[in-house]
Amino acid sequence: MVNASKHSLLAQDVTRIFTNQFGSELLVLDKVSLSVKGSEIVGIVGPSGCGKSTFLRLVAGLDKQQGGTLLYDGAPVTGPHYDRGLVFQSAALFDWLTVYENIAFGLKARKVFKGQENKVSEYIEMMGLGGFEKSYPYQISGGMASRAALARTFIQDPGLVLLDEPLSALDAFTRMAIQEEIIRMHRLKGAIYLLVTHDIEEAIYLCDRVIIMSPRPGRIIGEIIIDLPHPRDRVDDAFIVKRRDVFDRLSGVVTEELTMEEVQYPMRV
Amino acid sequence: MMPASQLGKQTRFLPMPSRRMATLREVVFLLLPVAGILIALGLHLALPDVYPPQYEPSAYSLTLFVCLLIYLVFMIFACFFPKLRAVMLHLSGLLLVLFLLLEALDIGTLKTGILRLPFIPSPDKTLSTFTTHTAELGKSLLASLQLLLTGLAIGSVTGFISGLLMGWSRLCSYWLSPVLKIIGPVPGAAWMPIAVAFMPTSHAAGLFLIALAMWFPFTLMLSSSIRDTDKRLIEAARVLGASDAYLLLHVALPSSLPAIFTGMFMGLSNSFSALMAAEMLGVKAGLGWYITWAQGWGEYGRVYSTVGVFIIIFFTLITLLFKVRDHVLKWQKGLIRW
Repeated sequence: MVNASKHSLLAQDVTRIFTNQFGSELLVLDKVSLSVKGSEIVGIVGPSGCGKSTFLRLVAGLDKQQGGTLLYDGAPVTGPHYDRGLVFQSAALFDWLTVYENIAFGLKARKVFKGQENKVSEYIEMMGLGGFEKSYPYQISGGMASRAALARTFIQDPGLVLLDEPLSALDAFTRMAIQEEIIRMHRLKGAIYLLVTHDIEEAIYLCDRVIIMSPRPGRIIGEIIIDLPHPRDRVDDAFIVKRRDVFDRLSGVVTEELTMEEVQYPMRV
Repeated sequence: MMPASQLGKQTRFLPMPSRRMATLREVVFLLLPVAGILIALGLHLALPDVYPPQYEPSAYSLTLFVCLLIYLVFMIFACFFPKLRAVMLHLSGLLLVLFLLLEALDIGTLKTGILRLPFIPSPDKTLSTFTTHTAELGKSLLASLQLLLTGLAIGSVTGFISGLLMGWSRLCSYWLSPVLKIIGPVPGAAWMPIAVAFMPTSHAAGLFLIALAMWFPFTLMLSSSIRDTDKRLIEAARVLGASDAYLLLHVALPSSLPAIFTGMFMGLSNSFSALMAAEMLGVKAGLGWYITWAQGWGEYGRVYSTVGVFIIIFFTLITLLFKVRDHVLKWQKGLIRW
């Protein structure tokens, strides 16, 4: 069973405007509101540039919103904290540290590493990194790097795990294998997971709820509850139906709004 | 089997020997320099000395003989130790040509007089510096090394501190970067009159020149590399709970190590010419000073031998730097090879 978690995330009318070097403004997130509690896995899907990564960065405390409130466990988010772990799209491992040292980084940075050597080894085994402890990031595959990046976050026991397309650079088989690890970890530790992805199948496979966002300015335009039992079957009829649901909601806005966007920002690179 | 880590790193003349004992083919290759030495020695002893008149050579044949003995000792060991053998096989072709060229020079000078004094002394004359002026040369070597290493240490430490400050703090960068930009590119020799005027002793002036040569590239490389630390890595560290100080010491600094080594390499190269300039500042001993002094007497043999000592020092220092770097940066692939 999924462990009970008392954590909560509440976003209310979160708005983020980017200003470029010429002073022109771009509304990236437009009044995004979202409430997540307990041990829910929530997926956020939407076309490129819909601000879903920006939203995660705000929750992680790496960026500041211009409007609205963002509360984690009832307190406003003011900056990064290890209780809100973020896994980047590129694994962003520290090149000069071995896999073991990368995973121990957070514990060491917080000066709680002493006596936790076994915990590091345990997470290395759990994430399927056994035998790669002493390897440097350039020596391991993309899948291994993703596993290490996940382990580096999971080992901190965060109450909120932010996953910013962590598997998007991997091949389909590696991706499916790591999706299993993510589910396993979630069952074991329980936490709020917020997963940003391009991959509709991934969102439906992992999440309890999928949020659909529109292209710029990013707004929440829909929500689909995935109440399928685990383990989920990717080619099961019910699964396919959910997939179609999300796809329909998404493809409509993508084509329609993208055309609009091309007109609005013809110079966009 | 060749270990996988060796793949693509091969720059050797012959492939890595796999067996413990040397093969006949390998022994033949190992003997090439011996043949070179014997040819040189034979020609040198057989041909009569004609130029300059009344010159009694001794150092050249002695050197060749010592080289032969040392090489033979190494060669015997090389027959049993594959790693040493690989290095020596790599060098064998180069050494053969070296000894043949040396003998060609010997013939051109001492044996025929085609190449004239004072600018082209015989190898014997050049090598005799080491046997006849040992004390002077040794004293100069120590003086130079002391000056160079102290200056490099001062330059590295100050470069490290200023690079760190400039890379991390905008305020420091604002106030220090004009200093760096104005002072840095001025060549060491141009500082000579100013250094002499403002430093208490000529030794201190020399240290200043060498330290400056190291400080500039070190600071520049370190500060710009810290400033350009991968933003993703900084964010990853912050999300994992790293404080600012931890971020600087455990993310920005290690990710800047490659740049530090590049800076040190540039600084080291600069410091060599700074050393030459420094030793013109009225010092009483030093290799640069010795070169100038010997040149004044038209003793080009001593000039060349001192240049040889310089080459050995510089080669050793750069090799040492690269060895340290290879060890420290073992996490990085595709390093520049020395």
